[in-house]
Amino acid sequence: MKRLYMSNTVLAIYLGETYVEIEARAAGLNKTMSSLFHKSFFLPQSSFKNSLNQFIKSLATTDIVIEKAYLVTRYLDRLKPFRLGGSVVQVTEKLQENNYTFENSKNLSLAAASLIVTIDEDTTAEDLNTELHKIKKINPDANKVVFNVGPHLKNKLESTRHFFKENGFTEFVNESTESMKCLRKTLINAGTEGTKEEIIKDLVDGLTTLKLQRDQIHFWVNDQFTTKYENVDLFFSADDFLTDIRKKNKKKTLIHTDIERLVLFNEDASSVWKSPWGSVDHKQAINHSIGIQPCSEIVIDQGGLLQFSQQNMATEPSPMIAGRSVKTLVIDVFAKNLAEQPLIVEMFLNLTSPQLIQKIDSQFKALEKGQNQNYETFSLEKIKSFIIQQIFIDLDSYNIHESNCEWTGHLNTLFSPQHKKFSWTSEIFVRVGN
Amino acid sequence: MKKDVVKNYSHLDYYYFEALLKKYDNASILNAQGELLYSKDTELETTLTSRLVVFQNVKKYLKLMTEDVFMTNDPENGGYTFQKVFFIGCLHPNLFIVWVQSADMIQFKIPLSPLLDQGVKNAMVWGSLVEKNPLKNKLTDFFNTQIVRFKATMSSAKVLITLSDSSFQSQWLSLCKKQFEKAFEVKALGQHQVITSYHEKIIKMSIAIEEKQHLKTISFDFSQTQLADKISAASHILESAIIFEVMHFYGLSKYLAQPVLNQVRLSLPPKSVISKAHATGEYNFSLQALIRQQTQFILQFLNAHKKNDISKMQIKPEVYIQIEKNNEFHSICLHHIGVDFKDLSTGFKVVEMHQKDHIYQAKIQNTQSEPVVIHFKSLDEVTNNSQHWIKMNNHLLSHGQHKLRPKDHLHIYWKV
Repeated sequence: MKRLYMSNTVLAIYLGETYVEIEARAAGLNKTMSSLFHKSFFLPQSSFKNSLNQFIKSLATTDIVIEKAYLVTRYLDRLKPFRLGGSVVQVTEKLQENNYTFENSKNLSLAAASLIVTIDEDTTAEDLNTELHKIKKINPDANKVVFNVGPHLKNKLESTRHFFKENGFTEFVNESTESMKCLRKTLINAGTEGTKEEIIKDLVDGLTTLKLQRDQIHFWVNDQFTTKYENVDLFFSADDFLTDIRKKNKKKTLIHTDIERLVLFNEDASSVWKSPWGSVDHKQAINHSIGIQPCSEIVIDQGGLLQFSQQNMATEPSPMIAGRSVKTLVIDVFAKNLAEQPLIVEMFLNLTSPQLIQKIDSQFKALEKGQNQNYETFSLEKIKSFIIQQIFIDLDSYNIHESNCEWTGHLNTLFSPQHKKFSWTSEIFVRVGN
Repeated sequence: MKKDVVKNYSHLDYYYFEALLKKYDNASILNAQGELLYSKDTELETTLTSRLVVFQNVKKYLKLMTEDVFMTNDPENGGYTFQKVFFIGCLHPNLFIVWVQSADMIQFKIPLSPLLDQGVKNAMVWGSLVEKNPLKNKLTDFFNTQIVRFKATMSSAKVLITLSDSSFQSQWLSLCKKQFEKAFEVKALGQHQVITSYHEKIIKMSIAIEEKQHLKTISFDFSQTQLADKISAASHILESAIIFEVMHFYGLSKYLAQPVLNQVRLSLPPKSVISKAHATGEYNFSLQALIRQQTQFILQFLNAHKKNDISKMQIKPEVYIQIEKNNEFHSICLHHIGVDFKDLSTGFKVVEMHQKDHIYQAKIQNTQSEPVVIHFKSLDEVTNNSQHWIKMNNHLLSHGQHKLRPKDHLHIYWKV
């Protein structure tokens, strides 16, 4: 059994929208780093907490203290199809309720209308008590509060903040009440607090035997690992990280082909995030979607023609290669190729089973037979060549020079075999000096 | 990346067009014969057939070489309003792109002019149009963005080779026709008409969807629509709205190509409210909104199981407000299914802005020392009621330009 220095174990985690990759490295006697554990888990099959439990169980020794945990994440992307703010109270001025919804009423909601508290110069502690009583009746779990009050109500704002603090609320203050983009950012910070806390709690509780503390958990934000960030930053953690890979490798373009998404980063950036909840002030690298996304469903339309859905079916129903769905996603086309990749097989344990491969083959044969025979029909191989072609067609429009291009993601060798196999955690360790 | 020719994938070939038009919102791809191969459109302020008219105008007078780009925004010659600039580019001798991009700061007419001569900026046009303009920086950004976009499209070599191939085009056009026939068969045949009025002018629209001697047609007849005086829009403006709605209804948006277009026939009396171009396109937004709603109504009526449920057409409100302040423009679009505001945080005091139970109320005050121009386009008949109104200093606004003087208020009440 390896004897490990307690203080030199570092954990690297990629917590994606659909999968998690974990690696622990520790320094040996000769100060070289050795990998104690490296594994991927598909999240719809194994929760983040369960993945951490498996990590603990697999360690050869319990004589370990995790010094730091470094995370790159896309986990918050799971929230994108949903309304936020179900447990967020919004304290605002009269006649400014829900003003953030004016940009585009089709955007998703960021705050529950029934949890709005309006204040003015005359608002008393008694009024606030009455409002709190109403709120607790509507949602007893409401525990976050956003303040969107201008400087002319400064004194009232202070007493209101004090009131909510006394009542155990976590506060989020919008510093620029005139900017809806800033207000939306504050509301997103509040609305995603629960999910961020869930990640941290899973880590601290899951690794309690390894004595990991909250302040040892670092997220990648902008161009570094840090403990100081806003929740909204976590939507961009993975994009920021990939941009850092592009910059560090001195490339103009980074193509990222992963089981979650196919995207391209060049030098394009934006200061406004067009979020599902409306525009938000946030500087970010722009990710350009390329080809047909791996979690699009392959369907037959009413006319019997093969089509690719626009929806992301990553978590529900999840691909056939995960062994639990009968719906075919684009990623399933590559089942046989993926079965040759150890890291992917770790995630999709049934991939090596001939029964699953046969089931997927049969599914594609059924899809082919189900197509309108008066039109050209599409077999698995034909769908595959079409999907690959679409990626290269999109890449063509970005005028990419191979010498000036980095290719990352777990599917990189599938489309560009000359590139080295990608691992999130290896890249994380490069950045933390291990 | 390899520069070989891409393969043909039958009905999925629309992905090639989508890939090519990824960076465009309103664009058409045409061949050298002027046949429409593909169209991509937004629902509001549609320029679908306007782009075809502009292309024909260019082809009539000019011979386009590869990497040539021309531009225009003349509402009396295929354009929409001055703010919508049409670009006509040659991607290959047998492949052309026409795209439209909004530029709120352009409040003047651009006659048909070259922007790029075989990939090189036309110095004379650039000098007179951009360099001498007080809004030089904004115009430079705008036109440079269009040039970068066009050049990126030109770099999609594999797709351009395939799409410009005559045999590919011929197969694609046949497939689109087949798709139209298939879609046509699952919808109802029949005839119906609606009569509405706009600024006291009668607009009578009849639709006949029929199959005669294996010929499937959707015909629109506007006979008996009143002649235009001050208020009107060009026929291609209304055609754009009609075709967009028909394609949407039949689920054919991906397959809108010339053979499909040929099956939609329009009969518009000359010089009527819906066939006479307006010099600035002032009424295009409102008349498109009206015609779009009429088309939607008749198509739904003909296909309804219980016709009594939808026997009467009710026009739904649609409003477009443009606020101009020191060459900065803020657009507000109010629709019966939603509102769309741009940020109004500078230059105005937002006295109130709140939403409850889908009622949007906003009151803004001009806090500057200069008046602000409000350009208001609406279907007046349905925007002055208890659920939808826009007032300036407590007076209802009507279609046209208004000045919001210092300290004046603009008040919006809108139920979605």
